[in-house]
Amino acid sequence: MTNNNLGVCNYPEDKTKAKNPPRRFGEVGSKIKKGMPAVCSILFVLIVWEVAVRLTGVSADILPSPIRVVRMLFINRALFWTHILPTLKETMIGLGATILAAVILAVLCDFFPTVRRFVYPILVISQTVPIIVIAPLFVIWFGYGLFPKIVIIIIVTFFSIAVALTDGFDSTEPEVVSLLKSMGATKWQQFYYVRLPAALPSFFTGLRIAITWSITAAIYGEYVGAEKGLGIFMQICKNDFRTDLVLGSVLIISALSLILFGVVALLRKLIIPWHSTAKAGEKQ
Amino acid sequence: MTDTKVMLRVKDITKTFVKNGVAFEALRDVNLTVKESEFVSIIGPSGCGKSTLFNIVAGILEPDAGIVFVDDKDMTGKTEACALMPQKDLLFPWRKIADNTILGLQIAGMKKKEARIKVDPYFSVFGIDGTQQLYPSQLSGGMRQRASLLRTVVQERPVMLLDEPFGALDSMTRSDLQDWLLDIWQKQKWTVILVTHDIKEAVYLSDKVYVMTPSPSRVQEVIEIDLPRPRTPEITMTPEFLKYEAQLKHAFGKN
Repeated sequence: MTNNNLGVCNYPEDKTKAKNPPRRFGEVGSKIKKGMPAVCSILFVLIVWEVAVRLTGVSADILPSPIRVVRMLFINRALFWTHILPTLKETMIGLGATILAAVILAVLCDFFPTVRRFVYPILVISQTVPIIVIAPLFVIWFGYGLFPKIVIIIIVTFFSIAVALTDGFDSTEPEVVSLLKSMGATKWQQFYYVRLPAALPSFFTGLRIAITWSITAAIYGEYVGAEKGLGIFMQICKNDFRTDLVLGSVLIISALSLILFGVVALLRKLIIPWHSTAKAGEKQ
Repeated sequence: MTDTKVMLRVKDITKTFVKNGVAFEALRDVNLTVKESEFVSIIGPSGCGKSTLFNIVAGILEPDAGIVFVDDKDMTGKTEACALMPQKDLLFPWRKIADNTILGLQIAGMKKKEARIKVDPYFSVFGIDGTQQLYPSQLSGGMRQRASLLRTVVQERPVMLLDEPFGALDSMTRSDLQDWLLDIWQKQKWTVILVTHDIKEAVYLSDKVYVMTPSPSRVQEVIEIDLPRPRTPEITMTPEFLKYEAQLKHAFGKN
């Protein structure tokens, strides 16, 4: 034991050593292994589809083969591109607006419980209104531009993010509040130091749901009336019996959803790196 | 001992809660006296209002009647005098250990950088050097509790309130940490109030033990533990120790 500048003794290390951070070795390899069955089953469906189309000689107007879909997608890539961009723009703006509004509202609800009592019923009711029925009304009210699509996206995704955030804020234990109060923390400090970071995992769960919905909402918004975008493009193709191009659009929409989903997962890893370690720690 | 000044005086604290129209009297005329650098334990049955008493002493809760004096100043309902160590470590999973321990300092307005420099030497004192950059989930329960005590200590409040700090640990770790706390306290001489269910722990660590009655909670008995200091684990085998343990068991058994 040695004296240090505090005039007290050093203590021997705890017998139970700090656990090392979980090793990342082989993570990619195991991911590929995990993904194999999914890849196999998708390939199987595509092969059956391709073979069935060739054997039956069904018209491409009704069911084009997967190879034809991909070929047409490639040939018409410039055309597709002009429709992808507006859809992506709507999705991004819509989702951004949703996040902004949801954060503001959830924070207000957290600080003022009365606000929650006013707003919550409206939120719940907004989820009971079938968007399929009211979306065409937005075209009547707001026309064919960007605005009605954004409104649709907000209606579809707002609930999941706002609820995820309020639940996240509420996940703070009362003991933690007592601890912070004993330190003399103000209400704002309690929010900043605990309630906000505690809500982040829940927020990302909500965002993950919202991101896929927001693309679907954008497509639907275009479907009922738009000048450009994958939704209206699909409708035009359908009316022309270009089933191959409709299926090509479907492919693109799936790919877009997957990419955005991946972006959210990546952001989550960057912003709350502690969360996966904490979950691994709980299992020990 | 007689010339040591009184650090904390809790005078005639009474608290009644009303829930769904039913009144529940948690504390009735509770009095405590804790001298500077004294280690005082409070034991009592579960739900005897110990947490309520702690919250009042910590200034989080206002009593219906009574006053909390710290260093002869009325600190009733004020949080500045006491630092609280809760039963669960409550380390934030999103903060590394170093940043968890500076929480109280940050809330008090100290800059992060400055606070980190301030706590760093304590890590070796507390036997958790090298954990500064780890997340709480990477530490064992015992080490987390050490970090939790460090978070309490660095606030440098006149009185420290430890609310069953070892209650959730396994008995091996628990006994390790009791030895550790005894040792570190004997060097640092903080003024400590410990709430515990564990009679042996109370005798082992304390200068004085308050035995509380079930609700409405009042002080049933105050027992001075006149065992020599510094104490070592061997003291628990001595007849004097066992006598105090029996005396407390007896007092505890009455309620």
